[in-house]
Amino acid sequence: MQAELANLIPWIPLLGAALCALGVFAPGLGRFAGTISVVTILASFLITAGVTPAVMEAEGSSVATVLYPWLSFGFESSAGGLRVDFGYLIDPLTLVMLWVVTGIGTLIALYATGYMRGDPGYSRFFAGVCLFIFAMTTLVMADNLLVLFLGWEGVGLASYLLIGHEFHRDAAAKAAKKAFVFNRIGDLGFVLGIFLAYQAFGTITLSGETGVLNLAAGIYAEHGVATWASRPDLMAIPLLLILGAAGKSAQIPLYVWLPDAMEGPTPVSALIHAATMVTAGVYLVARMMPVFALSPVALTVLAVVGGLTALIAGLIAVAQHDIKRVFAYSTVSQLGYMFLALGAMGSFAAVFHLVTHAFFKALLFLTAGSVMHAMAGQLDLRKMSGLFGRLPVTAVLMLIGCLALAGFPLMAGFFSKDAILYAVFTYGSEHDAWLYPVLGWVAVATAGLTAFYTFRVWFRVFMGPSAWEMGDHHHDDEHGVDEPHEMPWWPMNAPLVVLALGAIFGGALLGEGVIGEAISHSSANPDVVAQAGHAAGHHEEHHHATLLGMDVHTAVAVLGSIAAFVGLGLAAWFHLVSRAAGDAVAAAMGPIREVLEQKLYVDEIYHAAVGLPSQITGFMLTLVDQLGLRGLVQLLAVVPQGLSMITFQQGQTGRLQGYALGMALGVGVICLLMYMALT
Amino acid sequence: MDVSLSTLALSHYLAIGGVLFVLGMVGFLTRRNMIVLFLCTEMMFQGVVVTLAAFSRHHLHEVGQSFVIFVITIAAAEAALALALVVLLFRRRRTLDVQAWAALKG
Repeated sequence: MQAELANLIPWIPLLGAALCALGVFAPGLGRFAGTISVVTILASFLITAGVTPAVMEAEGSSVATVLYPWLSFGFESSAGGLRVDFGYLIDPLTLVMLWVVTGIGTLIALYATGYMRGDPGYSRFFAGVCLFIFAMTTLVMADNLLVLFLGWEGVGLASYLLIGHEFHRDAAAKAAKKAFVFNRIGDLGFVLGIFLAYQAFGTITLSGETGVLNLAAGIYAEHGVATWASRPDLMAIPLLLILGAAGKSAQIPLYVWLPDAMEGPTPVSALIHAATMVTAGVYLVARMMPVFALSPVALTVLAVVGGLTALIAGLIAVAQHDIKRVFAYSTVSQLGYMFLALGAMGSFAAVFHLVTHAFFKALLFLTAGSVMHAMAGQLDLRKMSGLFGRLPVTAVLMLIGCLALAGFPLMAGFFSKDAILYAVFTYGSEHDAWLYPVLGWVAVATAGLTAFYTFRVWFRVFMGPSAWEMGDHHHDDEHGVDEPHEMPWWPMNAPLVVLALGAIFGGALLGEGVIGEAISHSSANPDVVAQAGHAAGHHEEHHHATLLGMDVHTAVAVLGSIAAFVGLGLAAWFHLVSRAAGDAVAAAMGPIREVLEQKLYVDEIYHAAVGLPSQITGFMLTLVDQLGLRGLVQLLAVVPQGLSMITFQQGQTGRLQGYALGMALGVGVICLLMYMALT
Repeated sequence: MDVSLSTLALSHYLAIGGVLFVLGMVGFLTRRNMIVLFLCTEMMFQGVVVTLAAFSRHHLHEVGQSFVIFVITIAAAEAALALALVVLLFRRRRTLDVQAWAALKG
């Protein structure tokens, strides 16, 4: 069957990773690492495209295959054994993710072949990229939570390797470590969630009649939503999964690793921020939607976390001076948007925004990389201005990305942001939950903020009087001029054009008709759960939702446009028309700006709350140990020391292996004695 | 299809386990590099693990498998500590040779 070809999707990039890794030792092969990487990821993309029709026609629009039985704990002869197969599930939601991961992944890898030229770790870098794609495709194709976790951890490992690509720089090594540690905190929640899911459902397989998703929908149909009193386990599972998703998708309180992750080379930032890693949390929640539907508390938590993250990260982004840092906080903010939509059971809106965001955020990061390349590593907004004449292509491409991110009408971000606002406002009115309209307005305000900080970057870099200060990152390529210059090589520009097309048309073309259709045929469809509830008589009032006297659809489109225009207008006023006015306002906002510039001191708070107490405890324990216990122990040790001096000390050579040999011989003698005693 | 292991198959697994253990032990006794020494102890662990899993299967009983999980967990914890120790020792003497620390004799 044709759809079975899909099982190859993760393994081809893994082969690529192995070849690139070999290239580290064989320079002849290493020179082709970039090509190998692009070709293998492209092959996965082509397979994805090829199997899409077959999967859509397959029964129930999903194909589940078992590659091999993986773990079996306990045996059939005993009750309650756990059996986990290494299996793949491909349904429309998986397909959407695969298109994004392999498609955007190919473009970023292609860009990277140019960007990373001359890097001493060229081959190592592409090995990491291929490994990343392998892990991410495994994650989205997993048919049970354990395989999903395998991909989840693989993505974490690959991001550690890629963020720390320039490990000799202290900042990069620290950023990699930070990403790793914060992800582990989230992973603890995820693992506990898997354990609990196994206890509650008796399986961790996702698809099929006896899978977790169907069982959850069944429970919903029979009993409606769970409560802490009736099913505490069903309430807790989604909350634990949220912790895991917050770690991977950089939500409050675990978001602090993502802005630092831009210490990795720029293509890595694009890969992590746009196409793969951070969307894993959104995917997980969308995939587990039936489980979340059971727990109203979890949905509320999800919406509040998402709304707060969107707002706070947006505020911080306004006061950052590093281009990539602005975009990094923007990613955190946009992911907050997706979580907000998921909290309103809007899995379509979340996945839609995930797809359009992949286009324009990849575009923004890669154009930021172009600026960085042109300015010899300079990324400080205060040290560049009026670069349009020097970098016209980059400027236009980044403008497209900015418009899309700002939600300018008819650009990709406009449609997906509308879908999110719509989901939040209608969920609020259908469930009489006052919180959701509040969060909806927060999201509208955040949309204005987004437009403002995005265009702050663009106007500052490309408009105004021409003035700049080059960075100190001299690359000795053929065009060794100390002036800003466009990228000389087409493979770096071509992917940007494709991404720009996606950022323009992605929203209009991919909305309800494509992604909406896909979601409604997958387990992530909240309507399936709702209908199950309806069939069982859990009716919810369906009043015709209105907002500001308008149909909600129209209202959110108007609100979104107004927010975008206001943000854009303010940015134009402060950073284009009258920079003096902008500086005056910034000065007037002094303390607030300072707090935002310092990222609300969250890192410092974490250090004070967790880091410092452990350091102090450690110091105290050392003190007690050194002052008190040490003397006591030494006093006690005098007796055996004296004894040993006259007895065994001669046998002490200080050679570890000598002792080991003694132990081995001793065990041998005991074995021999036992054998003799038995026979 | 799950059948208990025949005695013949069991002895095969035990032989593999024994071979792994002895290889690890020989490595531990003969090599000087601290990291290789730890790799060898890991190999000895795995020899034991194979034996436990084989017996578990032979008796159709989960206890052996549970022990395997424990052994792997403890091996991971031990590796984390040991690697930290190796790094610290390396920083002091700039060498990975165990013999460099013979002065620690009691």
